[in-house]
Amino acid sequence: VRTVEQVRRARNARVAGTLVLALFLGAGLVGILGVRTATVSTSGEGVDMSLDYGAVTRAGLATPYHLEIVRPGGFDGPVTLALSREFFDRFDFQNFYPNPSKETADAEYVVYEFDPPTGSVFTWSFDVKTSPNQLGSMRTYVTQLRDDDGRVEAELSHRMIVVP
Amino acid sequence: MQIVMRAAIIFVILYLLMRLAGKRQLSQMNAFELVLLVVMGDLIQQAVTQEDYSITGASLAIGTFTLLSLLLTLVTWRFRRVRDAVSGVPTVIVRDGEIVMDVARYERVPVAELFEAMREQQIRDVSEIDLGVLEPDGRYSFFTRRQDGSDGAQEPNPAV
Repeated sequence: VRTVEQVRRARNARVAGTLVLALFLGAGLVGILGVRTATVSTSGEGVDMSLDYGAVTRAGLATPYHLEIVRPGGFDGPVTLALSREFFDRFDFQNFYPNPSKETADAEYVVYEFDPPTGSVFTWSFDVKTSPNQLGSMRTYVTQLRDDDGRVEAELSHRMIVVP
Repeated sequence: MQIVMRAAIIFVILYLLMRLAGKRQLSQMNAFELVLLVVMGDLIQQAVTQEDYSITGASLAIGTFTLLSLLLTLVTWRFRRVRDAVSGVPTVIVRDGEIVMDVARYERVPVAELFEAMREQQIRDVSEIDLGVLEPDGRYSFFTRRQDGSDGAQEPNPAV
């Protein structure tokens, strides 16, 4: 049989557990546990790149990836983008907007080539869901804009956490 | 964020539905109603977690249900009016050896069910009962004249 003191201690333990639970739910409510969007941007040789991406996501959830490239003088040739291969392991892809006209890959990157846009702004978005069959990860991925010779004109890196 | 909101909304809807179903459902559930309850659980799961396959998502949904249950317990313990609204109040269904038929009708209690509850407590005839109470959880409590040896069993002040 428990004493009053033991009952009091058990009550305190329950209160502490409830507070921890409330904190956890609060974190979920404000989006700390995903999906949380962040933005990175950079400037290269006459080009600005900006990326809205899912900084924190969870298995099965739609995750944003929206890339915008601004070249004030316009694009005089195809737009070549290279993305870390590992990035593609994280998602189930539904579609790209727009779809690339050519694609290839090397050991480290998947390389896409797009027809140039008519104006000075090129945008690229994914319709993706985080792959369900993963426990969690925290890695940094790279998006590169390359010129016709394959040299890197601008590069963005972003860290994405997949909460288990 | 959405999963916590969805879980909270479903918790409220579930609670209202269970209250709507009435107190008898708790103790009088038959096989079909049990299957319905299981199916209901499956439908709820889709509404709460949707395409979230993560451990975190499941934990958030379960945690929301748990926290709201704890809050409900706390509020019902602290405030009597809330307790009455949430848990229900006992209802006298047999008084002085006679079934209060209006109560039986309003609570949708078939007389046969009342007799069954009496038989389970080794009561042969309703006339033996001084006070019969339908408890908020659907159980029946009977106070017989035989038990206390008098006609005037002390009433536990239930609401009629």
